[in-house]
Order: sequence, then structure tokens, then C-alpha cells
Amino acid sequence: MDEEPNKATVRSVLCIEDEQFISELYTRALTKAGYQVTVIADGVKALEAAQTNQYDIILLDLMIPNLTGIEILRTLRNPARVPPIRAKIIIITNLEQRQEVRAEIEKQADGYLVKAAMTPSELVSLIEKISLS
Amino acid sequence: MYSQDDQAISFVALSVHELRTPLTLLRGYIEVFEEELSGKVDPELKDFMDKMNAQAEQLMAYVNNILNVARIDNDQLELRLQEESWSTVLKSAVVALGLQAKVRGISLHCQIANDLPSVGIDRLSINEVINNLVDNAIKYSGSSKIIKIEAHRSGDGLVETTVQDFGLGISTSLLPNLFTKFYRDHHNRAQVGGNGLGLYLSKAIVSAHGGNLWVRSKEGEGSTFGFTLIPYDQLTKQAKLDGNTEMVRSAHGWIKNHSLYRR
Repeated sequence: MDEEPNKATVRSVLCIEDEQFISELYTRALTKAGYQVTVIADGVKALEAAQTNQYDIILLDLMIPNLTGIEILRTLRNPARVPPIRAKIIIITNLEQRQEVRAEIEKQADGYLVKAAMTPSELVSLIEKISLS
Repeated sequence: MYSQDDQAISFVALSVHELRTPLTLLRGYIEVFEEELSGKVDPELKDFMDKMNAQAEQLMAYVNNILNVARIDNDQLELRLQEESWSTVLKSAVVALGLQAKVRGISLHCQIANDLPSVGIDRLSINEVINNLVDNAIKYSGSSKIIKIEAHRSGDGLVETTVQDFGLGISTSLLPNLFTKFYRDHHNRAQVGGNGLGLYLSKAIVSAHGGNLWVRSKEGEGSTFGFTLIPYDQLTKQAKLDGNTEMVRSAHGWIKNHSLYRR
């Protein structure tokens, strides 16, 4: 099920974001950069997709309908899950977090980006950095 | 200073979130227009696009200022000190301010000594200090077109950074109140924008780093703002640092420090 990715395949992004205008901008920039983008606005559907399909990158907004970003992060990064999800999980948010929540995110996510602090191209560059490692 | 309850910080946090969404979109669309139209429009329109971009960046900086001032007032400003190369941090902060300066025809001259020790800083917060000081220098430049930013080792081994403008300057009578909240020079208010939080915030952040923020100014000749930072070695001796060295922090957030990017 979790095979090594074929180097020639297009890298895939699952964008879990319910602000349509934002996901539209991000999709545009990512597609231009050669990524294949799937956008899911609903938390429950998004979790299901993340567990069923292979993605290289998961962009995860914290405030989405039906399941919070934190709950999704916890589920995907549950150590009991075998094999582990191989995608890099990057939190994208405009919220400021309290210390307890931040600590948990830092343990489980591969990145945390403030949406307002970056343009779509900057998001793409940051994703390139993360996906190279 | 009055202590506020949780209501105040929640109101601010919520407001900041609300403000950031349209801001995210504006910055995104501006970037799209720049990418698509850059070579194809009148220089005047290109200039307006640059200005639009600069304004959006400034708005974002002010929103961050408001959030941090609320945190300071509620004792919730958390600094995570990490070892950083001051040369790297200062240079990238100055580059990021290039657009703000360019739209006003101002050049930023940066001179950094090459013998600086690494410093212990919370990069995000210190970037705000640099932003605020350079932003002020730009606003108070009047018709002057140069700002000098400089970093060197001070007499007592600290890393000292100065931001100097050659513009309006500040009269001596106004200096004592400079670092208080909402203070703005009422003589120059018509010429100068801003929200009066920048210096208050900068002073709080620098002090929280164990440094000192000072100003030297002469009306009609310009001002120099300077601040000191403690070298990392000294800090490890002095204080117990947050042991978390696993994050690569930047103006956008953080990226987990995978092996390829260990500094």
C-alpha cells in the first residue's frame, strides 16, 4: 500500500481548506509549479481521503467544518497507525495558537505556516523545501 | 498598566484572525497581477501595483503588532530563543523591506561587521523590531533618500544594531514619551502614517531579549535608533533557554528541521 513514489510521477497535494478563494489561489500557484492538487473543504471527507489515497503533501487548515485540523493531525499521526502516513503534513492557518496546542502541533506536523504571512509563490517555495527532505 | 482579562486577548485573537483572511487574499491577488501584468503595463500602473503590495505588507505588519501588544499587555508574549547568525537575520529582514523603501525612492544601506558572534533571539519577534525601526525611518525620512542600517560589536561585547535616517528628526521634548503606547509626534502627524504601537512593541521585545533600545535624534537632521542583543554564548551562561532547536523559524512560520536543513 505505501510504496516508494516513482520519481517521475507528479507530486500530489491534498489541500484541506474551506475558504474557497484561498484554495483557488493556492491551487493556481501549485498547479503552475507542476503539482497535482486536490481540494477538500470538509474535515470528515478530507480525513477519509488522506487515509485512503497517497499524497506527497497535505496542507491542513486548522478551522474546517465537521472535524478540526488538530483532530485530523492527531489521527493521521497516530503512532498506532501502521504503516504511517508518508505525506508531509503542513499546517496552514491564520489563527494564533495557545502554548498547549502549539506544542502538540510541533510534535506532529512537518511545518506550520501563517497564511497571511505568505503569498501563493512563497507557499510553493516553502513546500518545495519541505518536500525535498 | 491595567491588567486585562482573557476576554481582551480573545477579542484580539479573533479580530486578528478575521483581518488576516482578506489580507491573505489581497496579497495573493496582488501577486497574481504582478506575475501576469509586470511586463505589460505602464510604468505608472506598475508603480501603483508595487505600492498596493507595500500597503498590504504594511497592513499585515500592523495586524501582527496589535496581536503582540495584546500579548505583552497580558503577559503572554512568548519568546523562544535560538542561536542565529545576526548577519543572516538582519540581511533577510532588510531585503524584505526593500519594497517599502523602493516605492518611496529610498535606498537601504546595510553594513554588517564580519566578526559578529551568533546571537540568541526569537527570530519572528526580532524581525518585528527591525520592521518597526526601518518602517519608522522610512516614514520620518522627509525628503531624504537614504537609510543606514549597521551592525557591529559594542564596547561591552554585545551585538549592536543601528537604524539611521536623515530626515525629520524628533525634538528633545518629545523623546521621553517615544516608547509609550499610541504615542505619535503630533507635529508631524500630517506627514507621517503609523499606529503608535511600533516603538512600544519594539522596546518590549528588545527588553525581553535582555537588550536595550535607545534613540538619538536631532530635529531637522534625522534619528538613530539602536538596540543591543546578547551573544548566544553569553545567554547560555546567563539564562535557561528553551531547548527546542528543532524548528527553522522564519517570517512565515516554521519548518521542521529535517536533516538536510540543519544549521
